[in-house]
Amino acid sequence: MSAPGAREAGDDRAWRDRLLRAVLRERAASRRELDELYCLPVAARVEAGHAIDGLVFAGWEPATGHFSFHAPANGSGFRPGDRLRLGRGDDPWGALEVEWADYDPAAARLTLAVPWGGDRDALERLARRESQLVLDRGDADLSDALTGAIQRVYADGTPHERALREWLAGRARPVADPAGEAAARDSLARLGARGLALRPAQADAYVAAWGTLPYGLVQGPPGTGKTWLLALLLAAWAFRGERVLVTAFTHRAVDNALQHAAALVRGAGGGLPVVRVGARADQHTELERLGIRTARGPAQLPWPAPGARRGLIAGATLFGAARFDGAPFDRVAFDEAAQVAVPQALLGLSAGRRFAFFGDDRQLGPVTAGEPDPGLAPSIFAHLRAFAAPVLLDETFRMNDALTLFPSTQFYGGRLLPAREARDRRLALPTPGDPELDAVLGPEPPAILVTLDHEGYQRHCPREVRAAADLAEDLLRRGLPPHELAVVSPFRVQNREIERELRRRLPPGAALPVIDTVERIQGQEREAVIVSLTCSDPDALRRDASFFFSANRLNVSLTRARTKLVVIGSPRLLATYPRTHAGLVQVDLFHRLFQELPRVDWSARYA
Amino acid sequence: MSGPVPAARVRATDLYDLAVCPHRIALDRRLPREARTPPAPATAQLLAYGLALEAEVAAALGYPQPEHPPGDFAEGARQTRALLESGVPGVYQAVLYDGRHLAVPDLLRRVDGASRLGAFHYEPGDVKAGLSPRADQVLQVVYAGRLLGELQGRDPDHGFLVLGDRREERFPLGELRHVLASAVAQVEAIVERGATGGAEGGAAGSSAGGTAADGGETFPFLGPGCAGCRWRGTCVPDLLARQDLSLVDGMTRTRRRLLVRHGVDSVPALAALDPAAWRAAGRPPLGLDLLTRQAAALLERRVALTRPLELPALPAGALLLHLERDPLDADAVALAAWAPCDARGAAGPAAVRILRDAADRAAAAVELAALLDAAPRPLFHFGGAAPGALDALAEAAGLDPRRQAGLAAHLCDLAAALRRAASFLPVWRYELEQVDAALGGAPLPGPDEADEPAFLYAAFLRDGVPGAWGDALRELGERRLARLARVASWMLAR
Repeated sequence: MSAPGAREAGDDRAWRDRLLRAVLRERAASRRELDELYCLPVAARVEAGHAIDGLVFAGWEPATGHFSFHAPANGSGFRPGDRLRLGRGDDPWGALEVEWADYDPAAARLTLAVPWGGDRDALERLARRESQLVLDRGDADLSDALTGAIQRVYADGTPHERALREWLAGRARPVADPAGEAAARDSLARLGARGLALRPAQADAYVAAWGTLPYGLVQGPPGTGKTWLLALLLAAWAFRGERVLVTAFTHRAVDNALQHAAALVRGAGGGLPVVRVGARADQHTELERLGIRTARGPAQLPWPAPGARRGLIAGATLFGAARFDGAPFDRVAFDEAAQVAVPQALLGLSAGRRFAFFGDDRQLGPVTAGEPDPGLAPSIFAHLRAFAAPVLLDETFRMNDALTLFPSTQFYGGRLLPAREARDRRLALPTPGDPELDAVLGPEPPAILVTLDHEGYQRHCPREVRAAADLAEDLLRRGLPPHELAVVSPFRVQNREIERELRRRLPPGAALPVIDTVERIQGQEREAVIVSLTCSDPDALRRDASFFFSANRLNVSLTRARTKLVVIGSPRLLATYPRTHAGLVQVDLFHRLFQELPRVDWSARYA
Repeated sequence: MSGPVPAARVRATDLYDLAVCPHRIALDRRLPREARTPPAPATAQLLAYGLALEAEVAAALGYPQPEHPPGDFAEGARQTRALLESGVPGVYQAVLYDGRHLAVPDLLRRVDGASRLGAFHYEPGDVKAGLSPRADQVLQVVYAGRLLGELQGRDPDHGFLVLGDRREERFPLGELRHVLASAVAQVEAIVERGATGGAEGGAAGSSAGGTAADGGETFPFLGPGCAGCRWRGTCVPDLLARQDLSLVDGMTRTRRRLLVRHGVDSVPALAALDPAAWRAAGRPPLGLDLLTRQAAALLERRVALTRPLELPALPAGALLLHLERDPLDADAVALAAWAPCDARGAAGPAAVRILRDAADRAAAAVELAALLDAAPRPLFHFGGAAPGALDALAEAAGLDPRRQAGLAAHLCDLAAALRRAASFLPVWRYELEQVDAALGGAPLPGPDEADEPAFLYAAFLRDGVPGAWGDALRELGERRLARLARVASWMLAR
C-alpha cells in the first residue's frame, strides 16, 4: 500500500499530464484546422469568411502605430484583437502575424495592429512592396505559456503551489474565513450607509467572495450585475490596502471590469491607482480618459508600500497575469471564469493567494478547436463548482418578466427573477405600420417565435434573411437606435446576408445594428434582439448538433434583450435526432422553446 | 413468424430506426421477414453476446418474467400488470402494450413513491453491451417510461441503462418528453402510411418524404446505417439501379426530397442541373454548387487533379497507419495496424495488433513511438478519426504528454491532401474503400457488413473462441493497409 503522500503525488502527476495533454491537443487541433483552411484557394477562404483579399496599403498611423488599408469588401468574421496573417495569399503559414484593430465599413478602411513581439518593420516593407494583400485567419500559439504555467504549478515548488494543487484536485475544499466575512459585512454596512444597498443575493455573494478561503465562486446569470459586484469588491479590497488583480481571458472583459472599478474609485473620491497591465497601444488613450493608468509589466506598477492604507487595482489578461509570479497580489479575481479553460486559469493562479471566480457556466464556455477531454471540466468555474457551490445572483436587471421566464426555468432552476425595475418594462415604439409587423414588434408579447415552414436550408436561408431584415428595418424606422438592436444567427453567412439586405434598404451611411454570431454579443445587452435560427435540415443538424443545439448558446441568444426578443425559425429543425444523450436533451430544449414562446406563423408571408 | 411487423404497431425499436433510417420502419411493415438480409456472422455473434449479457444481468436480479405465447403482447401486458400489482421487486422483459404502442424493456424495478399500484411504482431500464449510452437507447427507455406511466398511473421520474461493464446510467425521463412525443408522432405517421398502403414507387420505394409533416413517406437512402441493415439487400441494389441522389456525397434526406419534388431524381439529373437557374427560381440553395459537381464527378468517373498534391518529403519513407476504435467503448482503440512504405508508396511488412486491453494498447503505442524515434517520418492515415484515436492510444500507454504531441505531429491525412488537390472524386462517400476503388478504376464497393471492424472486434472480444475472429480482424487490418498503400502510391506518383 502506498503512503498518502505518494498517492497525492501520483494524483498530481495525472492532473499535470491531463492538463498538458489538453493544451497540446488543442494546439494540434488548431494547427490542423488552419492547415486545412490554408490549402483552400484564396477565393474559397474569402467565401468562407476566413480571409479578406484585395487589401491596399493606405498608410501608417503614428498616433496608434496601426497600419491602415483600403478593404473594399469584408465578409469575414474577424474582430478586434484577432490574430491574423497578412501576405500575398499563397502561403499563409509564411505570412506576417498581425492583429485586427478596426474596420470602418463606410470608409472601407481596415486598421491592423502589430501584435506583441511582431515585426513592425517587416510589416511596413510588405505593405509598401505588394500592391494587393490577403489577410487570413491566424491563431496565437499560447501553448508555451500554458505548458509553462502547468509545469510551474506542478513542480515541487512553494507551499503556495502545493496548496494550489490541493484545491485544484479537490483534496482541499474552500472554507469560511470568519474574519473575512466580518470585514465583508462591515463593508456592506458602509456601502449601505452611502446608499449602495445590495440585494440579498448580491450581499451573499459579496460575503462569499470575500470571506471564503482560498476561493469563492459567484455565478452571475445575464444582467445580474456580476461585473458591478466584482468592481465593488475590487474597490473595497483596495481601499483597505490590498493589492488586487482582476484577470480574464479577453482584453474586453478585463477593460470592462476595470472601467467599473475606476468609476467606483472616482465616485469614492479617488486616491487609488487603477492600472491596466499590457494593454494594446491603441487602448491607452481611451483607458487614460477613463482614469485607468497603463503599465507594460510588473515593474511599472505603483506597488503600495507594505502597510500602506491604500492598495492597488490592477487588471491584466491571463497571459499578462502570468508575468506576476510569486503571488505579489493579495487577491486575484477572475471575471468571465466560465470562459477560462482549466489550463488557462493556471496562468493567473501564481499571482495571488486568495481568489474569487465570477462567471456563469450556463453561458458560452471557452472557445476550443479540438475534441474536449470528457474528464476535464470545460472551464475553471465548472471545475471548481464540483467542490464548492457558487452563490447565484438571482435578480436580473436586464430582462423583463416575460423574457426572464424561459431562461430562468430552463437554465437556472427557476431561481432567476426579474428585478422590480426591469419586470414591467416593455418596448414602446410607435406602431403605425404593417399590422403583421405590429403583432410581432408591439409591446406584447415581449418574447415571440416567428415560424417559417421552410426546409433544406443549412447555413443560409433567404426567407429568414428577409424576415429578419423586415423586422430590423421596421424597428429602426420606428425609432429604435441601431445600438439598441442586435440580430443574431449561428451562421456567419446568414449574418452577412442579413447585413447586406439591411444595408440595401437603409439610407447610405446609416448606422447598422450589430449583426453577428452569439459569441460576439455575450456580455452585452440590447433593447431588442432578433434571432435567426436559419437551419432546417435535420440531417445536417445531426452532424452539427453540439454546436447548433448548445443549451449555453441558446441561453446567451435569449438573454441579451431587455424588452423584445424575436426568434425566427422553422419547426423542421425539431426533427433532429443527435447521436448522444446530451444532444437529445438539448434538442428537447428547443422543442420546449417552440412550445412555450407565443408564436406567429409567417410561412405565407415569406413563401 | 413470417409476416411483416403488424402495420399499426409502434415499437421501441422504431425509435432507433427513425434516427438511423426511417425507411426501415416502413419496410418492416411492408415486407415479410424472409426478405430481410440476415446479419453477418460477426453481427450475429454480437447480438448473441447482448442477449447473453441481458440474461446474465436478469438472472442476478432474479426478477420474474411474464409468460405469454410469442407475439401475444396483449397477454404479456396482462401478465405484466398482474406482476406489477403484486408488488414484485422487478420484472424482466415486461410487456408494455396499449393496443398500439409496444415496449419490452429488459428491466422494470420497484422504487418508492405512490402510484396507482400502491406506495411504490416502477422505473424502466435496458441492458446494453456498450460502455456508454447512445441517444436512441435512452429514447427507447423514455418510451417505455411513457407506457409504464399509463399503466401505473404515474410517470416514472427516472430510467436507467445497465452497460456492458455493469455500470448503471440513471437519467431523468422528463427531460426528453418533447423529443419523444415528436419521434412517436413521426413513427406513427410512417406506420399509419404503411397500414393504409401509402403510395411509394417499387419495393424499396422512391417517393419523397420522411417526417410526420410529410405524411410519413419514406425512401431508401445510402447512409452509414446501410452496412448493418436488415434491408440492405433490398434497398442498395435499388439505389444503385436508379442512380439515386443519395449516392452523392453531401446529400441529405431533406435535400433529396426537395430535389425529387422538383423533378431532379437521379445522379445524372443532378449533374445536369444549373444551380444558378435553380436559385433564380427562388428555391432553397441546397448547396447545389458542390452537389452538382460531385454528381458530375460520379458520372464521369474521372479523377481530375485541379491543384498540385501536397505531401511531405519522404527521405525515410513513411509509415502507413490504420486505427480502429472499440465499437462498444469509444474511448479505447481496438485495432492498430501499420506498415512502412517507401517514397513511392510501396509498402513493407504489415504489423497488425489487436488490442484487447490497456496493456495491449500501451504496448502498441510504445512500439509505434519507438519506430518513429528510430526513423522519424510521416504517419500516413486516411480520414479525420486518426488523431483522436492516436491520442487515445498514447494516453493508454501513459506516454508523456509532450511525446504524445510529438507522435501526433507526424500524422499526415491522405484524405485531406487528396481532396485539396482534387476537390471532387468519383465516390459515394470519401472513405478509404471508396477512394481506393475510384483511384484504381474499380467498381465502388457497396456497404458491406462483413467489412465492419466494429462487429469483428466485438465478436473477437466477446466470443469464447476468438481464433476465427482474430484472423478475420488481422486480415481486415492488412486489407486496410493495402488500400492505404495503393492510395499513397497513387498520390506519390503524382
